[in-house]
Amino acid sequence: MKQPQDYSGVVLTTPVSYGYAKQSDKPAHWYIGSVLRELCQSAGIDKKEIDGAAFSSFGLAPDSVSFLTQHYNITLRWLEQLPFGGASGVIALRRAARAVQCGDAEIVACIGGDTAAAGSFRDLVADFSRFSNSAAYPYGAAGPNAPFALITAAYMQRYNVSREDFGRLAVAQRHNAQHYAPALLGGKPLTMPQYLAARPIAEPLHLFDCVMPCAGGEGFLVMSEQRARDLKLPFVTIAAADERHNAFAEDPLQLRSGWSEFAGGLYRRAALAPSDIDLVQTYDDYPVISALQLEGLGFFAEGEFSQFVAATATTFDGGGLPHNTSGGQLSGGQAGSAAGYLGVVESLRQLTDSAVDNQVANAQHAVVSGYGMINYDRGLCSSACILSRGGAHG
Amino acid sequence: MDKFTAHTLLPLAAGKQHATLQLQQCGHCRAVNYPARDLCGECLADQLSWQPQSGLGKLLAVSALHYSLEPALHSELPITIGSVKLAVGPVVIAYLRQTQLAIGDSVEVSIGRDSADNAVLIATALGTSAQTAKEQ
Repeated sequence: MKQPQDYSGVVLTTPVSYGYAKQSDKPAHWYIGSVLRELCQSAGIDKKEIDGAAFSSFGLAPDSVSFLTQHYNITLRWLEQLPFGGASGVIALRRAARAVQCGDAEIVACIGGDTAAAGSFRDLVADFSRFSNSAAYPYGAAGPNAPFALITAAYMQRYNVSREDFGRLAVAQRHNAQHYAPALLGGKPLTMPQYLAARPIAEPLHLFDCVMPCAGGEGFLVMSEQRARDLKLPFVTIAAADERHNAFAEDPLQLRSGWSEFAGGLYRRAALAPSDIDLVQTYDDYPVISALQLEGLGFFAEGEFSQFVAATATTFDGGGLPHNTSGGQLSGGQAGSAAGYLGVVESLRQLTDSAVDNQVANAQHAVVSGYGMINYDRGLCSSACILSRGGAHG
Repeated sequence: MDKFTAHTLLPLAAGKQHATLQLQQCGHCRAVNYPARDLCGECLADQLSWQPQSGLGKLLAVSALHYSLEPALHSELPITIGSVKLAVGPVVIAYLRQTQLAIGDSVEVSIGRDSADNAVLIATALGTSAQTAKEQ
């Protein structure tokens, strides 16, 4: 397979996380527009200078992203709607980087945003996809908990993984969330005994294995390195990025996905190894999915999740491999499509030293992984990138 | 409380409580397709029709659900479901009426009805029909 070209000359800047709330009466449009405003303010640019946008949301219906241009009175020459759920953030930066590299746009705003009204999660899940409607939801109407409970059960049996092993990730993320003010569950400490004693939701999943749906927005800007220097913005470069859709379709259960297929090329193009990575953000809708990503991206050998979490601190300040340094979704809340941008945005903060209380010391390289779109029994989209500290800091 | 209507698309005649498994099969390449779709997922031919299939398979995973988004199902919790790799090819999610079933067990999948009369897939231990399993 021919390898993708590099992303030289293109950078990511201006991490924005906005408006996290357990419930909201504002529509997704409000969240996306608010992030757009904050991006302009933070970058010190007028919205007229943004000539490209990539948006992700589950909550725009009946609108599409083309309608957002009129909501926000912006004129664009490049526009993408990225419906890849938790894989959207990495896919957005891939698309936007090519647009900037090729001259189709100069400054691209990449934004994920969604709201959470009472009952909106049930409405989304009960009519999520045709396959889900006919072959998953009818069996107990548990939403995504059902396929992920089945994946978790199979993973635990296959690799002799215990609930406590998954708990180590969840407890570490809660620690991280306590040092990231916007995390919705950051005020509630979580100990291993509390994790283990939680009520069952869909066995073997218990309460702290499941994310809390919420409202919020996440976004960043993609532009040329020269433009970022002119604007005096700290920036991050893309060492490599990749994506797959419906990888390993023949596997009867999803115990791996695209990461296992593209990780080798990803590290080769970046001229880095997993041991060079200073922090990693996975899409943590459930701990088992973080395990699949960490395994697929080479942080431990197949089947060695238990050994990995026993030997590796995953807190931001534990000296091991900092993971989901803002608490991730498990401790921060899952703001619909914004959750697919969270890992990119948090990595931008970390690699530009703009994280506050949860800053990882001397971070040079981050892996961000995405996963999304449970059509029936598995997530179909997988993505990942390696981001590196750029210049123009301070 | 609203009745829970599940759109499983499974063929089960009105008034019937049980039927042997039927799934879409391609008249061109013979591939068995599930979930139901509009043309063959293997060869893309427009030759799918519902055909009787062997329900034999192996349990890949089991979960006891303690929470449901449908209020109409709350009185039935916990609900046990499983993922079954059928010998004819597809993986199906099905109700398990025998909660002692475990990963690796051989099962047989047939069509039955849930409490709201929806046609659904039911997996039972090999050698016990959905009818007798329900009475256990």
